[in-house]
Amino acid sequence: MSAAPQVTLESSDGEKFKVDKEVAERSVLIKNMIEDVGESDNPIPLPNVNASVLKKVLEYCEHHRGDPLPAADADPSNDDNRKRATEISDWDQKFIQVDQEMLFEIILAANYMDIKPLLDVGCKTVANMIKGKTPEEIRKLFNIVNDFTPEEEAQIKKENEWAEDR
Amino acid sequence: MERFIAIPELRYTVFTFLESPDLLNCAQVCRSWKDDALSVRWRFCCVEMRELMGQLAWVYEVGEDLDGDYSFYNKLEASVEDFDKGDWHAFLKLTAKIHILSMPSQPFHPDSVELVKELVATYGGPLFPNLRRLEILTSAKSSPMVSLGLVTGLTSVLMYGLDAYGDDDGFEEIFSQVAESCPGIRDLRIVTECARSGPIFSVFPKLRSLSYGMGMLFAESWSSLARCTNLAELGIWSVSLEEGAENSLPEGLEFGSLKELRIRKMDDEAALVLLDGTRMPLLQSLLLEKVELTEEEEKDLSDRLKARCPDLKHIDFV
Repeated sequence: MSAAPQVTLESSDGEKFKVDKEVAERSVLIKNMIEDVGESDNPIPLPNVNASVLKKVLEYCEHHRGDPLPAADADPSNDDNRKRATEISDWDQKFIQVDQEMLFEIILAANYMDIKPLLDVGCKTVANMIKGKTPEEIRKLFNIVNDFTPEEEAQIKKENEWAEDR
Repeated sequence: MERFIAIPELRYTVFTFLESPDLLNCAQVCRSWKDDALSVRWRFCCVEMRELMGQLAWVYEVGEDLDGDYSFYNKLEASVEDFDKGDWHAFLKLTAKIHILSMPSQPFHPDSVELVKELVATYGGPLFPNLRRLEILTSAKSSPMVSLGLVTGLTSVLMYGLDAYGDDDGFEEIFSQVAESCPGIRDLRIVTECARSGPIFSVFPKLRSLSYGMGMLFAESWSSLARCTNLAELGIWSVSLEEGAENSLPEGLEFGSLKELRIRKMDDEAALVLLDGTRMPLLQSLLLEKVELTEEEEKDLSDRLKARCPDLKHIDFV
């Protein structure tokens, strides 16, 4: 019996990762690339993902290799019914306990590589970080400059005061 | 800004995992966040509503267009007999989980509202027993506001974007429906664009706190506040006074229970008309923000008010 087919991925900084095809294909981007160009020994370049992030992403793909793939043509209206549950499974929870910079990099990589479940885990984690924070604390968290004029800020604050409990 | 959160789709995805209060905080972060955060908030409120009503099984399909066009709704074929007590209690239990209900223009088919009312009459309530606040995003054009009849026992209502364009009965109709089903309303906040008629606030006899913003203030609306004998707190915001109001305010107008008054962004003459034309014997605090009075006018006004309102301790001009 031959070994499981493997593919090689190359990070932006030139590091090569040899992984099972099944693992790499958790990424819809890679799956499509393999389908398009056919099997080849050439490494698949991922110019937007550096080695440390790719390693992490592949760790996720390895753990979830057996999961059913989300339907590619998911009905967008299903999004509406999507549970907004913010629970994250134990393994994912541990996996995503990384510093903030790495978390954001993982989200970007999951978005680029089109790995929806990982993207959701990342975004849920960020949502949990936002929860309970004031607008100023949120700005600090993401390095955002407040570009409201004082007048606009007062107005939107007022509108929101109306919407919120006193 | 961190790279990932600057990407609109990623930001939007994050927002979909947040709930109302956090989304409101996000809307205050910066311009590029504002619209997304608010749109996610409304979208989900609407979806929750749809899911909730879906629990009443085959009642209807709600279409995407919620502006009062029912042509695409399935015809309502269920009747009270189709539900047993168990179904109904399961539904009531679900409504008990809801604290804040945000309604887009028209979340219910009128027939299903009738059905729910009949079910309440047959099996009893309480429907939405823990609801603290109802938020309505609507335009009077999409009346009838039959859905309001579903919610009872509310004490706090916020209405967004009420535009009584042209049809003068807009406010009256909505107000009378809300007041009829929820006589206990104490806290009312209205954000409107262009009211053509004056809401009569005295239909809410228990009104304690009113915020009214962004529209026209009519003499009859202001006068009606005198009949709200529990009104303790009043804020008016970015409103202009109906032309000729100074002559249509009744003599000896008195807000007998008002303790706190805030006037923001108002024409100076209009503000003076209201303040000089209304007795507020219990007033304790007054805030005038962005009301362009000269220093002298401010001083004169303070003196006049202090002479008339013995408890007035704080007057702030901002």
